[in-house]
Amino acid sequence: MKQEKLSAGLLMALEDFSQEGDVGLTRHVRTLGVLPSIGTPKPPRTVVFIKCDEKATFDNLAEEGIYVNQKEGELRTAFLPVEALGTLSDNPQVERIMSSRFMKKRLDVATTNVHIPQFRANTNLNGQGVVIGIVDTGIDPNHPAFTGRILRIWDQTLSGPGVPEGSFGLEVTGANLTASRDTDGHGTHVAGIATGTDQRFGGIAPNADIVFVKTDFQDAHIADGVRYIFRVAKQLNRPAVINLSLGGHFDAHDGSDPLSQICTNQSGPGRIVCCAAGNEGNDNIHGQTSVNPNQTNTMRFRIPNNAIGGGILNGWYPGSASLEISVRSPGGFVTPLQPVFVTGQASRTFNLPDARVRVTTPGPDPANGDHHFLVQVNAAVPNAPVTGGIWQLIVHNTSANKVPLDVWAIDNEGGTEVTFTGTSMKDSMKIGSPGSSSAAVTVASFTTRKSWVDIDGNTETVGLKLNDISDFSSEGPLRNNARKPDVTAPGAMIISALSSDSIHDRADMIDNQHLVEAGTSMATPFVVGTIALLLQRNPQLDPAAVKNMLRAASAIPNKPANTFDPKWGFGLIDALRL
Amino acid sequence: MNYEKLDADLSAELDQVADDSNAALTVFIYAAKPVGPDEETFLRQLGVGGEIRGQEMITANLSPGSIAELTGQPWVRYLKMSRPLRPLQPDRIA
Repeated sequence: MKQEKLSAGLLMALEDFSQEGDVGLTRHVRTLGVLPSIGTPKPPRTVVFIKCDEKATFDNLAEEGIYVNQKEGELRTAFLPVEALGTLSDNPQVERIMSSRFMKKRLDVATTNVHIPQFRANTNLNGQGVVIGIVDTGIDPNHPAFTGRILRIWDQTLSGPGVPEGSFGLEVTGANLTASRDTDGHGTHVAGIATGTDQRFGGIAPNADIVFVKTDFQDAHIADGVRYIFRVAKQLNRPAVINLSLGGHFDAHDGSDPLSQICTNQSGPGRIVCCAAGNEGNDNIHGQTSVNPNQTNTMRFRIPNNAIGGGILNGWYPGSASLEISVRSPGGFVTPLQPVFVTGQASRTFNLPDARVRVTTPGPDPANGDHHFLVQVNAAVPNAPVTGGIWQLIVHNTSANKVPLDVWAIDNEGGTEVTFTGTSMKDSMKIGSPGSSSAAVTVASFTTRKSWVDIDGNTETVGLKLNDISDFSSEGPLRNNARKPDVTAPGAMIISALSSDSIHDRADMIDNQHLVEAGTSMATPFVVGTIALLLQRNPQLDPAAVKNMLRAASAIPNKPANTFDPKWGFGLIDALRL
Repeated sequence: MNYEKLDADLSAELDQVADDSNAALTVFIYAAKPVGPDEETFLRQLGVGGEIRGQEMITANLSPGSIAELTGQPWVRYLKMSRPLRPLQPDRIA
């Protein structure tokens, strides 16, 4: 025997075999692919990998009971008696012999972490009879995870007569589903988490049916999509739960915006909406200050260099107060203090030498009675970059009382490139529409995985803290101090369905049908799928009942039951407590 | 145009597109009561589609001129600008 050619595991098994016979191999059954022979006339056998010459031939080894499965190649597999390992190692064409191991089914650790498999085994629930509605980037109609279960797609991005809820886009069913594609991949991944049918990375409610709205992401059209899904579900006489893994920060962050209101108004018995909390946990998009009467405060914000799109400040304060608003550029140029304009056009544009600034200061917003002002910073010359650097929002209180002011910074793409700096920066109130809907279940993200093996066999790792709240998850509460988020669910790093029409970094691909993603976008369908299971059991559950059940089944690690935290909500869901 | 019936976003946007005769803005229309036959007829004339009878919040794609007409209607409480949202994935995870 050429022991130097055997892996450590095989040497260990051979040592135990030489000392204890067949019995000594029993401890190696699962780890080394050893097939025991106790109680049978056959010798114990093992499956191994062989590293050898690419053109090596092993036909003559069959006489020894050694069967090599491949005729060529540098890495092959073989099936042989344990006792024949010595003979195999003596073959000069063999360079190395390595053990083969039994693999575990790659159920995503996320589902096992929150005990979904046990809950489904205990209850026999699978989402049958429930509609899961999703408003998102689209769904891959050919993905095997959804075969036969996509009832209809309203594709708002295609030309067509639309549906009763909006006379635009195209509704497709059956064989025409393939007219709609998910070239982004986000929606397919979300759908897979909620309801994918898959041996390894199955969804929470794999027998639910899907009604999908591929949206252009205008919040008015998202609202139309919510109405559409609930109308279709009603016509089918089924309960429905809607997934909204989307959001923004143009709103008042108190649930008074129209999309949040429609989500709340449309919810009811058997009609539940779930929203993602947002991913700005690491982004300084919220500034807060409190201005004394007749005082002036300054809030600093940064616009990055070479930002073509400019920036927007979305400010809110009580309707009983009155602030004058001014902006100072990095070059030191200042707009005049602008008061509230109760009548007439409330927008004024100022052409500074280094920027064009529009300040809008109307009377109280009719939706919530608060003052809403906007500051829009653009380049002095169209399509040129905005002057990067530190800007100042200057606010002067002309009212008799102290005024609390909240401002959200947004870049022109609705993203997070414009940020607050200095003392006004505040890590709170970063849950915007529609996560701020009072009736919706708003979901934060928990990290259950930080590494994976990609499609090329490389191990990829991210710097998130395992088994903890994901640092990117947005904090509540709402601006009116309402408690949000509601609960936490696995949102990083989640493996789910890959849309065949989307292009991704190979580091994020597990194989040609599965992709790894992260975000409160991924946490939300976990809860959607869980609610689908609950609706299967009781189709009349209303939002309050669902929230109470989820809250009772959730906990923040090392905190007493029923503790609320602005990052965790009421904590990580444990399905076994539902 | 009755600017008191417009939110800040819509005021700002109308200022921005003041010189664009082809501008079309997606808005939410808040009605003081559920839309009846008269209100529906008015909205249809402005090009509003879909099922709107009985609704108190209607979505529509309107020109600045149509928005101005709506602000003059006593049954219109106010109008809010539709804004773009985004799928919620972090821009980057280190």
